[in-house]
Amino acid sequence: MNDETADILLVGVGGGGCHFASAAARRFGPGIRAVGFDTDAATSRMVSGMRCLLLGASRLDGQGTGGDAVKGHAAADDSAEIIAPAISSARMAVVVTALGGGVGTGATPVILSALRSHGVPTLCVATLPFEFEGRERTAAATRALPVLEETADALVALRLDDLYRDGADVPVSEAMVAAEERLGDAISLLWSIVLSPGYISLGPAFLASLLSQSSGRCRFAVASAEGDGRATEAVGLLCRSSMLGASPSLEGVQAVLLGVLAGGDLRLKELSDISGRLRSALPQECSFNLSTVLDERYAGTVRLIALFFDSIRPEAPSAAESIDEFKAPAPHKSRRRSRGDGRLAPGERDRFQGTEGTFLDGENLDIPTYQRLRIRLDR
Amino acid sequence: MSIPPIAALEIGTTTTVCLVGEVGPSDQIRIVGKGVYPSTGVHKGQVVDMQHARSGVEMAVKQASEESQIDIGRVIMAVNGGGVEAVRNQASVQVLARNRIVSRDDVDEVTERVKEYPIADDRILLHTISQNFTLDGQGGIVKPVGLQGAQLVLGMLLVHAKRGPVENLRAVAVSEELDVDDMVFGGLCSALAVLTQDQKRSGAAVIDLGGGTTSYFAYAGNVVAAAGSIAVGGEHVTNDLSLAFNIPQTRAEEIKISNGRATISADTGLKRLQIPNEYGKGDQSISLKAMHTVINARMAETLRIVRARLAEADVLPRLGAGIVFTGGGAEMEDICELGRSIFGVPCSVGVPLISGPALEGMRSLAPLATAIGLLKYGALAQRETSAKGFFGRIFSHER
Repeated sequence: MNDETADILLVGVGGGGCHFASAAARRFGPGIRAVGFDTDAATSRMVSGMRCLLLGASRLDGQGTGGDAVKGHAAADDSAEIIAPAISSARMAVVVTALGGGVGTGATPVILSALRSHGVPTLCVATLPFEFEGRERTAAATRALPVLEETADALVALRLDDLYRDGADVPVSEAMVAAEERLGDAISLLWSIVLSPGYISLGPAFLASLLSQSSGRCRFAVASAEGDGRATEAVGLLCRSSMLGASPSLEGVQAVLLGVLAGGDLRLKELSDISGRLRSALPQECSFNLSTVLDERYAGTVRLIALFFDSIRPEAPSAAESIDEFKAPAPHKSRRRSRGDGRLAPGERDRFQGTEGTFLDGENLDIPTYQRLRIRLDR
Repeated sequence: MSIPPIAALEIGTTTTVCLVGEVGPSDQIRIVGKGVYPSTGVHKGQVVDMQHARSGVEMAVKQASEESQIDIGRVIMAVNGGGVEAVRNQASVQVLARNRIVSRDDVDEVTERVKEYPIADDRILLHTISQNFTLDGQGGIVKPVGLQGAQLVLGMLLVHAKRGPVENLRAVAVSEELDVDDMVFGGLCSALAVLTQDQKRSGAAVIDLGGGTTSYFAYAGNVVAAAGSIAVGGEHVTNDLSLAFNIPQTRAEEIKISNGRATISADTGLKRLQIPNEYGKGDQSISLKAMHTVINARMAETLRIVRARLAEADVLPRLGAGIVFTGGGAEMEDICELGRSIFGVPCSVGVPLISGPALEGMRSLAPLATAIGLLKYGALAQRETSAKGFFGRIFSHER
């Protein structure tokens, strides 16, 4: 494992998030840097492979929030001095949370904002409750999504029902554990393709750059197959994965990061097959990025993990050299962009692109004033 | 008779605010609950995504309810988007009595007539604000009953907005199981929050520099003389910076808050601002002067638009107490200097005259001016209703 391990942080928020992160840490083994945040002191006793920090100790005294997102939010607000040291040295973060509860729903936006204020690109993986958990919990979880979409660089929203569909007649605890293991496995695969050396390696810097350019939701899927025809089968399973949602479609995807994990028996033809079949399912202009990891642990199988980004901005050109440096103070907590119909169009920074303009005397006031007045800026 | 606690809800473009106020026996308001949560799904003061907007309302209302320990079931809401406009109408009646003494009936008749102003079907009347009476050419009459004259004239300012955006705001609150008692123009609320009676008498205009809109509400000649809103706000400043320097919107917002200034100063010299780099991209620095130039261009243009509207309403020469700025944009450095250069009158930042446990520790109340004003409006409305009178004391305001 290389030194960049320490720069990538896995963050679990809330009881559910900490369990998911812990499952990923167990799967991946040593070398994953993970931290959890919860108000309930019991969580730290139930998870392994990571440290768990207590939020809102003075307010909640180590107890849970009882599903109250306002308490979760307040607890995180109270705990800036606990959150900051745990996240400030990260160069990229994957934040896992289970929405619907108090800490997951309330504290996650605060932690994402803290990461953003430290300049850390974030991928947030948020689960939505099982249907049997009730409409109210699901509604609370769903209403939190726009907030997460604003505060994370990229958001994956997964219904737990989609993570575990393998049979209705199982104990509830088994369903929960199975969902936990599946998501933990998927996250550990993501760590593998980013950190492990491979024949084609993209590395953490590339993923961080992709996250920085993302402007909204992305989707996440894993698949594996073995034996003859494993390459074709794995791609087919990936494209039909329940993790992509009820009606998986790759039509609007703008960029994809595909990780192929296999043993030393992986053939060049198989790799071409995987790449070609997936490309044919994607729009022509989609940016396709491939990473491979060869590890004898995967001998005999092919495992695929893919991040599909539905919205990407192009990279900005770098600015001219400075004459005198004047440092800006530490960034403030970010404010959200307005979303809905006013969301940024792909490839554009303009907040008002594609929205109804504000016109005065025939002039569109949404166009920057300095442009309309042809003010020359000495940048 | 005591007034129950009042809850005010403002769904702004950048922030959703819910305040709970207790009304004392002398109508002083004490804020006991505050919820402030970033908005999503709101654009230029209008709801563009119901589900997104609901999440901000849910969190803000919950915060305020928790802090105040009051279950919030009813709210008064602010309206800033939807192209709020004000039109002045005038109507006249012949005094009925043979002895030409103006009666209550004459006043009621002219009041009904002046409200008969056709507004477009897609617009909704928010407020009808009586101005002064004129009796046989003598203006400035406040209470004409008992005076002698042949012709009684009443002027009225009708404040209206697009129906759709107003109803959408209401629908967001209703979807959160809140009853909406009233929808009130945000500019009116800001004026209630920050202006003193002396300022109103001398003539003053409140300009609320919000995230998605800029609203104004002006007193001149002892009456409300102008009101309206423009769908340009702080987000436009942020967007201008983002496009000018090719930086993400979030970074543009941060530097606007930390280093923004409404004027361009020679003191800035060649100073440059280092933009915290995003992982994977090169360092970036920008000229501070260029940044202030972008901000100044936008804010000056916005204030000039307001100036033109106030000039149309013949308000400018009568602003003895000058301009008062509120809202998030009032915190921009040098905003008063810019205002003075554009309006030619004294400018200041409005400070809501209110207190309460929920406001402790707040650096500035300017961003809460609209919500604070909503509470005051609600308290006045309830007091007037409980006294079985129409609004008349403060504005001669009728609905």
